[in-house]
Amino acid sequence: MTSSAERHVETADTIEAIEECFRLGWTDGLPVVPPADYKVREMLSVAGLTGEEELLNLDMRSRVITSENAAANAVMAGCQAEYFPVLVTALKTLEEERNFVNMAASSTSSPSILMVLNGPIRDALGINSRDGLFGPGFRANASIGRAVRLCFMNGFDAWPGQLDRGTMGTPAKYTFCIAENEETSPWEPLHVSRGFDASDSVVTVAVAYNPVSVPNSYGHTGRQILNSICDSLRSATLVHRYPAQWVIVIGPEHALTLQGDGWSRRDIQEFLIENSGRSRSELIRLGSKQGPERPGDENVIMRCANDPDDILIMHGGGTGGRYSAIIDTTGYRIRTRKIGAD
Amino acid sequence: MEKRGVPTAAIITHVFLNTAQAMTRMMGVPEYRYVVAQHPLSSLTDDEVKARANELADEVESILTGVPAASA
Repeated sequence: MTSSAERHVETADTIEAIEECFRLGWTDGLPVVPPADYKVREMLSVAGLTGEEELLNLDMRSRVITSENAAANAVMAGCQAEYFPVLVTALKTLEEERNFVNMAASSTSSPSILMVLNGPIRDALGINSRDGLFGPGFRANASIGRAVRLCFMNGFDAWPGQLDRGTMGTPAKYTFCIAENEETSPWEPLHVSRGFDASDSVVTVAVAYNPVSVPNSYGHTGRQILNSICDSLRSATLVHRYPAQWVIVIGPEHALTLQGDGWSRRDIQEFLIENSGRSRSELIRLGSKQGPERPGDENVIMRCANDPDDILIMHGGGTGGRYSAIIDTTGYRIRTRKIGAD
Repeated sequence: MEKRGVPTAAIITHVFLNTAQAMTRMMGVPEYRYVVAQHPLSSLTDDEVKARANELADEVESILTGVPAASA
């Protein structure tokens, strides 16, 4: 995307500059912050980068996102300079698994890039982990996720109906960046469960479909709550692939009930796998799996995941309602990386 | 695959034509040939898929061998 980043445009005032960004086709449909040179340099300086570094190379589209490209998109997305290391780490993670980009920037199934933040960086940047978890209202959540999408659109030409062939699209393509509420979680933080120290600032990156809210308002036991989650995990119209990996966000009120009943993270993971199966023949008859049906398919149980570690349990969302959420992460393996580490 | 020396015939369906054109332009090979099948494919029965494959076979062969297809 160097061609667009190298363009220098003079405008009469800031409002005119915002309109110019629309004319240049640099936006996701919402106004962007014009990427003034000094703001781009400020981003790069916080991350200790020169602007020359290649962060994400997509051979398939003959395009490279440099640190300067990323910084310009971060400015446009509305990021503060302090957020930039998160974006840099996320892009480096995508570089390790380019199928994430291919999926999130082209697939007809319309996934996006989910980022989950853990560790001290959540408070340092003000990344929301509580009320309205996936919704608007928080600059860091809104702009970090938006920066990734702007990188795809401006860097890889991921425009709807052109190279991005997402059929239904998803609001999660505007932004999909959350933090875990570690403070009230009954379980160890997500990043600790994936081998990091509690004091590490870490981003978990997945190519993921939109979150599906799971209500269970009247259940009194942890088992009832988990059965509600299983009911969603079994849905042939919500699940894209069996088996896959999942991010399960347990809401605070559900977490209290599960904690009261003594459910550990591992208990939950095993219960969800055990109780989310569906026969292969049923899925073929529904048209969710390719046929033809073969003898014995009714005894082949397709599960939401095969390994307990493929179900990532985290804690987040607001109090006041008894909800959790499930996120289907398409089958490409979720990655977790320490922010700022090479 | 072509860059690695493997003769390749890509098949797309017609609704992806604009995407394929954008990709080949980006890759610097706007003249790159591929087969355009009628959409959709995934919902066809096995017999319909075989019939469709027969229709496309000559063009696939032509792309792989560089010899113009008799029926193309």
